[in-house]
Order: sequence, then structure tokens, then C-alpha cells
Amino acid sequence: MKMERPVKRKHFEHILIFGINGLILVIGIIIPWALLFAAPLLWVILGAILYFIYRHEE
Amino acid sequence: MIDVTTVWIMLAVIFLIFAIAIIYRKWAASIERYVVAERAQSPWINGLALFSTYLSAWAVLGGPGICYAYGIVEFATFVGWGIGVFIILWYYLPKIRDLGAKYGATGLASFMEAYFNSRHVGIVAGIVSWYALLYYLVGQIKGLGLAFSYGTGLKYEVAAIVAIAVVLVYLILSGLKAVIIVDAFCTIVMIAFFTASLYLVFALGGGNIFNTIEKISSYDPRLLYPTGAPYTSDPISLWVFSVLVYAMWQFTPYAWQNYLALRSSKKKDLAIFVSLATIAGGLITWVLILGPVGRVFLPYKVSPDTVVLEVGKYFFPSLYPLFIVGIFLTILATVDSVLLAGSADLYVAIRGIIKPVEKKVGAINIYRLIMVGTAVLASYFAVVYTPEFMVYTMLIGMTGVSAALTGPLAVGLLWKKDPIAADVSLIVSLLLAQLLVLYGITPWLTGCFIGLVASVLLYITIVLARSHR
Repeated sequence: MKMERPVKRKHFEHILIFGINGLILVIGIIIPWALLFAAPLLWVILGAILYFIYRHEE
Repeated sequence: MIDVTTVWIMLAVIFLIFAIAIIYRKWAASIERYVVAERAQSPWINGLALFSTYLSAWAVLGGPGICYAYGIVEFATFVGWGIGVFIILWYYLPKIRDLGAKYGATGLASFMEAYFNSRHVGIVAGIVSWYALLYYLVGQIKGLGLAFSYGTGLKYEVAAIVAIAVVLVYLILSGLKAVIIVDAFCTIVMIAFFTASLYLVFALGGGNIFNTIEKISSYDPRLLYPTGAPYTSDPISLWVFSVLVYAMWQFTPYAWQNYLALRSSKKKDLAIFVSLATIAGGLITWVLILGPVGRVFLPYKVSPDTVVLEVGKYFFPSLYPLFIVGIFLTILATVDSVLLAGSADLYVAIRGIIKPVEKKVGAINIYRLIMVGTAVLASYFAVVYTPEFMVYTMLIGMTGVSAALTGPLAVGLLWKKDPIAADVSLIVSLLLAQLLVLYGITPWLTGCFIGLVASVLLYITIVLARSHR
């Protein structure tokens, strides 16, 4: 059981990175001007989540 | 016409930059500190520095110019680039940083020499990288000179030389440490300039951005949904193309000093560094939108390259100095990193033949000499050609070459390390991309992409051929 958590975390990390960046790409194709707000905001959220996940890493 | 406030602000900024360099002058006395800042820089300050290092004359002058002419097509380039930055840096940067520390690498060429365990790869990579950066530098000095001459009223030629001299002073004094701190400062001013641009977009719609968007859309809907020019005919392919090209861009030599200077490869630090570096791609949209805004709202036609300056001057005279200084510092932050990386890479290539001189003057002074020589050469070209020639022509396209030249390294990091394959694909990708861009056979982005694909294919082919001998 102890080994499971980091693996799950890694999957979550990949899904998060490709998911949010994919979302930015889709917004860019559908409503390009919305990126004025969507792109910086989504990247800040992505960075904050990743930092939160790994904040205790030594 | 000279704006006295802008001149004073420029002088104050230059004074501050010199003060930073003087403070770190003694600290930066060893090679390890001068070129890679002791590999101990905080991800906050280093990420902020990379933010403005990435954004160049292309972002603040050429990009809005393209958007003025064709609509917000550059959103794909820059935001697509941000996507590439995030994905590639998140997975590659820990490897680059840790291997760099293990090898004692001082830049891209020295990393490649150690990574491929081959002196000739170091020589080829050093020359190719310096050569590509020299072209890139010419375009940047043009932008720098233009912004400085707008701010101070000096003639373009004089402004370009004074501006590059300012960069050389702090580079010579304190190397990468000064570059990182100055660039972080540049980023803060740049964010203020971006915010002022966005505020202007709101203000022109009476405080409601939807009104501004509506006005642009009713003037010409293609300005908001660009469907073609200048790169391709279909928005989806433009986006996918941008993400692919810019993913590889992360191997461009002038960002390597920042990668190598990061204090650790921990994911906690990585999240801060990568996010800060990426947000640059998102925030630049706040300036790019000034292109269509200028087209719709300005009562007169302007030269595309100067649309940001004209929009600032016409609608926002009170904050016009911020526009000038923001543009100047954005380009300055790129120029310093390019000069430092170029000299670090050329040093690796010519290390063998300059040994006697190095013994006499010391390695750091050799770096300084290369920097001065590179700057003089690039300034000469920047002054000889007219400013109109700048930004979205061939010289900026050479960044494409620097992206393409690192193709072998990208593949090498994932797969087999073959020095001969690295040599050949570096040289061929440089020549191919240069040929395509310089002779106008393809636009620069396509030239970069073709060079990149060719280098990767060539690398794989040679590796396979040699392993089956």
C-alpha cells in the first residue's frame, strides 16, 4: 500500500499537466481572445497545484 | 521629440542596473560564479529572470506588429510556446540541471561536449550556437536601439551603441548573477507595462473589455479569429505546429544558463520556476492585443513594428514612459543572456587554441573579450542595416535555428548518445534552417520546424546506421 501513493501522484501529475495545457490549447483554437485571461490564470493554477503536491518534498 | 521624464527614468534604471552589477562584482570572481552563478539560484528569482529573458523584441514589437496586420495570430505562437515550455521543462529540466552540475557544464556547448563525451561535439556545438546567437543578437540590438532612441531622442545608430554598451558594462562586471537579478527587475517592470496595456484595452471599451472586443470584431472579425496569414491556412494546424516547434525551443542556448543556475531539481522548486517561465507566454497576450486595438482605434495608419509605441503615445501619454522603459528592459533582458550564452559556448569551441592567452589573462577575461567582440560584431550589422529591416524578418528567424540545432540533444537525452550523429545533424540543421529562412523559401517558423525535423531524422538515421555496422 505504501508504494501506491507516489505512483498515483505521478499519474495525477501527468493528467494535470497535459489536461490543463490541453485545455489552454482548446480555448486558443475556439475563442483565441479569451486567452488574455485564461492562459495566465490556468498556468498559475497549474503551478500552484504542483507546488502544493510537492511542497513537503525533500 | 524628447520626453524629459522618459530620459530621467531611463537614466535611473541604468544607474540601478550598474549598482546591482557593482554589488555583485566581487562575488562573481570565479568562473563557476561568473557563468552559472554557483548553480544555487532560487527558483523565484531565476524564474522571474527567465520570464523576461524569453520575451524579446519579437514579443513586444514584432508580435504586436503581426497582430496589427493579420489579427491575433501570434496568440498561437506565444501561448503555444507556453504549453511547450511547461511540458518540456517539467520533464527535461531536472535532467539538464543535474547532469549539468555533474559535468560542471557552463552552457549548452560544454554540456553537449560532456554529454556526448566528445571534444568535436563541443567544438561544433559551440560554433553553431554562437553563430546562431550572433544573428539573433543583431535583431535584438535593433529592437533595443529602437526602444532606446524612442526613449531618449538619440539617433537610432547612437542609441543602439549606447544601449549595448550598458549591457556590456554589467555583464563584464558580474556575469550571470547580475544578469539574473537585472532580468528579474526587468520582469517586474515588464509586468507593469503589460498590465498598463491590458488596462488600456479595458479603458477603450469604457471599462468593459467586451465592448473593446465587440468593436474589434465589428471592424473585422478576422482580427479576433485569424484564419491564415502569415503562417498557415488553418487555426488548428497553427496551434499544433506552434506547440511542437516551441516545445523544442526550450533547448535554445540562451536559456541554458538559467537552467544550469537553478539551485535544485526538486519538483517543489520546479513548479515555481516552470510556472513563472510559462506565464510569460500568457501575459504577452496583453501586449499582442494592442496590435488589433491600434488597427481599429488609432485614427491613422502606423508602421506595424511601432504599433505598441504609437498606441501608448496616443491613448496613454501619462504612462508612455512605462511603455518605452518596459519595451527597452524586455529586450535588454534577452540581449544580456544571449551575449553571455554566446560567449560561454564559443569559449568551449576555441578553448584549445587560446590556452596560452588564457594562462596570461585568466578564463573570465577570455569570456569578457568574447562578449565584447560578439557585441561589436552584432552592433555593426545592427547599425549598418536600417531599423525597418528588423523584427519579423530573417534575423529573428535565427532563433529558429538555435531551436533546431538542439534537436540532436533532445533526442540524445532520450535515446542513444552518438557524437558523429550529433555533429552532422547540428551542422545540417543550421545550414538548412538558415537557407530556408534567409532566402525566403519559408517563413521563419516553418524554416525552424523543417530544420528541427531534419536534425532529428538525421540523428536517428546515423545512430541506426552506425549501430548496425
